[in-house]
Amino acid sequence: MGGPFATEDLVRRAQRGDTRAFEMLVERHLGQVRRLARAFARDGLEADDIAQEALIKVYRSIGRYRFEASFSTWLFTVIRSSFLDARKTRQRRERAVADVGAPLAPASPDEALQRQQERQTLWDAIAQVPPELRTTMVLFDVEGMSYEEVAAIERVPLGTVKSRLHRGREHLRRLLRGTSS
Amino acid sequence: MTDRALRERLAGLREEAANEEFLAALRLRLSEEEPPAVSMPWGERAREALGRWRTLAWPLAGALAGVATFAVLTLVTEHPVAAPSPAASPPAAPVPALASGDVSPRYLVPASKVAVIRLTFNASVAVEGASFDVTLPQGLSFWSEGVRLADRTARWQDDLDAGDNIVPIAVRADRPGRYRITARVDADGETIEHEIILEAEGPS
Repeated sequence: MGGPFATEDLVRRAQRGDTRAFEMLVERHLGQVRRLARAFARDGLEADDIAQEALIKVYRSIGRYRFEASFSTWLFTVIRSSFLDARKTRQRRERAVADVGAPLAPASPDEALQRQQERQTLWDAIAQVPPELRTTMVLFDVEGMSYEEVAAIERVPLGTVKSRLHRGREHLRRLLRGTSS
Repeated sequence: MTDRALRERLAGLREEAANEEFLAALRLRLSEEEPPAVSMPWGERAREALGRWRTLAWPLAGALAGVATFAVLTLVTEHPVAAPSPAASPPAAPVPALASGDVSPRYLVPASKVAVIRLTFNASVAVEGASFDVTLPQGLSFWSEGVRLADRTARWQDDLDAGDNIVPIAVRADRPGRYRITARVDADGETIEHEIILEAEGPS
């Protein structure tokens, strides 16, 4: 509470149409938003596109935020929903393209490039995990959120979070075995 | 791959990318956006339209309790006129409409001190989506948490509850004098505008 850059103050300013306040608000979560977007996209560019779209949706709906949950919980609830919608839209558009997780070209001897390719392979595999399991896994395993935080964002019980994590990891392991064989 | 190894690989994805370009693109998109639609409880919404002054307002309201500072903008029910009849007809279903209330109530406040004016918007029935507009003249400013707000006009939209809807407004006059505050409410295509006279007295 208090101070010109306190979350509550920034939210209230953003609700009044102060876009700079909104930028400051989301800037704090930008890395997490972009990485979660990455799990719903084929590459970084597409991830940024859907992240931008999701943040615009957040801005449009920020008037509905009532300070009942933490701002980050509310933000990720909206973001997650937007990504799930974007995924459905893309699926309808691109039914024919099913080879998102195809194995990549052999790794280059260059270490940095190799690391980049490993990351790409991992993201591609994550993108093939069912979306409910995917968001749980990214929020918990990639972003390091707690069970409670993930449960609040996804509006599910703790047990569901744990079960989704388990199933998500299993699914991912299978996919990674497929790409490495 | 063990569970632990998989989790380590996943955690390794948590790298921070440069956000400047992303933010610049977002800024461009935001500049094309309309202000977000806000749906807040009515009192809170009105206060937010005036800035971050609410924590200041209530203590001051208590301190200034002796100062009668009420302006009343009244929303009354207009009953549709039925066929002429000498007998008084029972009221029809309430239709919210704007009509004149008290005009130019006066406020006496100390100059150069923040004073709280309480605007009471009275509605006979609940009204959805009323627009409010309070404009201060030169020399008078809105105050919020000890800070003078640059804007001299506060606008917001909200629903009116049936009955009194009180909006406290913290203002300060730069010097003694007579100031006219304009308060306007629009609902259902009708508008009512009132002038509230604020007399600021005492040392400047």
